[in-house]
Amino acid sequence: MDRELVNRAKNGDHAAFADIAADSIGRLTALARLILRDEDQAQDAVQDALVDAWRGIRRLRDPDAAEPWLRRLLVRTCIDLARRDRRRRILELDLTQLEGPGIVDPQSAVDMRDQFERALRRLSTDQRAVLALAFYLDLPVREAAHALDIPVGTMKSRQNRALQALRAALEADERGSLAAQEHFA
Amino acid sequence: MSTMDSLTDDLRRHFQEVADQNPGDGQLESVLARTAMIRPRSTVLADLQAVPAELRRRLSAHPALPVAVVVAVLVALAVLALAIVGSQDRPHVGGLFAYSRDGVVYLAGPDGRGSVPVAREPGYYFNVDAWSPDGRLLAIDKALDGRFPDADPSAAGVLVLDARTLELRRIGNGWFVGWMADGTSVVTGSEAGGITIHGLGSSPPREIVRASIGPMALSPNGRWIAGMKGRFLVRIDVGTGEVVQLYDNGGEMVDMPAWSPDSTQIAFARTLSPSCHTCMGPILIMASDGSNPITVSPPTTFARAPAWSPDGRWLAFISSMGIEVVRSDGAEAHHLVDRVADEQAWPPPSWSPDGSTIRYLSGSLEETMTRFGLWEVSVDGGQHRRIDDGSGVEAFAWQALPAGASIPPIPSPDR
Repeated sequence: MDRELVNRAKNGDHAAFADIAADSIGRLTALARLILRDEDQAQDAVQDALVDAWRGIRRLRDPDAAEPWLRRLLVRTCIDLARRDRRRRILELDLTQLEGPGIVDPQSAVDMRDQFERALRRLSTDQRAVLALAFYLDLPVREAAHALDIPVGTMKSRQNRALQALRAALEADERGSLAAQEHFA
Repeated sequence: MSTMDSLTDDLRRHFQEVADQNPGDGQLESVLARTAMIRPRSTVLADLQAVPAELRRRLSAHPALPVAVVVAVLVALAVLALAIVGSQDRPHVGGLFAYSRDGVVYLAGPDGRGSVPVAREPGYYFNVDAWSPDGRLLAIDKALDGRFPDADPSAAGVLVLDARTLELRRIGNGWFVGWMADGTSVVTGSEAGGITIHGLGSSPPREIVRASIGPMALSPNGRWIAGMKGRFLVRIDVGTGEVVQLYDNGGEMVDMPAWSPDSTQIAFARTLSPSCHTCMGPILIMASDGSNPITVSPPTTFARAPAWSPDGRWLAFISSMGIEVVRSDGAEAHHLVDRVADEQAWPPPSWSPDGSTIRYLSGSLEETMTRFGLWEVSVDGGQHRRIDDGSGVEAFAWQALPAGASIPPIPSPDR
């Protein structure tokens, strides 16, 4: 992120902030989408995080740290948003469960994507955030821990457990598919 | 998806597909419309525009004033340098203090002064873990620094520093869990989901158990590890690897449990809601076999990160109000430190080896990113002061020495 732009924004230059927002909004939306798995919520989270960033930009001492700072604000906003919207999340989970695994061809890329989509929805928001930071942004453990405001050791164990939960969800989905295929055979 | 590698590769591809969609139309315009109506908040340290006009006029009318300020600062720095040099020549009564900042580990006197960098290497981030029971060795976590893609991953892991010689040895992979009671071996956790003992001598590492355990802590007597396995708080026998369920927590636990100094009790913050992993509290204490769990924190208090006093009579913990202290039977709860910022929520407060003071980290991550202000408060609340030099620290550890013991001065890193 352009250091000069950040310094200008810190001095109250809204046009500079607009450039920063334009440069980062795509990356932030992608990350929010992966954490929240809901386009509307993701866009709300990005907007709220950027508004918070503008409000607090004078507190950012190191302009070179603007990118992780924005990311951190977004991750927090996503997690807060998901917690505030628990009822909706529960309804979505119910719908996912009603929909069931379906009969799928495991070789199909589309089916693989749907399978991942269902499995990731079964994970908690925190677990999806851990996986997105580690396997989408490929952040080192320390930076991912910072984004989530947790110790490095906790990040490591959470990442391990999130992967295990994802694997379990995928395997459960596959078992459901096989059962459905046998039922209709 | 039979291996973890293929799972993570598939996950990366899936994330890329989902993330590649464009942001929604009008999203940027909406952000700019909202922010155009807002003025950024002022910083605590006022910028020049925020300096009152009268003061600015006086500053510009007295050009000698800035010169006087510069002279005063230089004198203060000279005095400070002399104090630091002097403190390095004297033995440290009360033990050493270790902290890490920006990937460098420092040793300092018990008051935080006279610090000396003892572990740093481009490409890696060093982080303080804990002192050995005899106070001679310091466990350090060495992690890859993402800014240096060519750094060798096999050099990362758990290291041990000898505080008297500053010799640094790599012990093994993973991350530090605890020192065995005799100080001759270190327990580590691994990414692959295992717990291993590494002797400091020539004996090969021994895996205790192959299981995914969440935040965990080794008992001071070295017999057990308490940690989270799924929603259960479990106890692992270090000798046999036997895993026993102690408590159904109902959900994931963020903080590690805390063993009492005599290893007979475990304190932990219960998860309030399975759907909210960081909604913690109250603080519970139970026997090391899981019996007699009792709540010791006030029932309405958000609470986490309990820490036992060295004599095992008291617990300090974090609440939504700040730092609280309570007797281990739940009596005499009192509020010690007001809430400063959300970020003070970790790590646990740390008792001084003599139990008279508590140190804790607090500060705004928006300002300092990974650094926190290091503060010390006496348990009676009488004294409260900042320990670090204003630059903040990331992690710290007290050296536990017998009362009244002293150790030699910190050697020079160049020696």
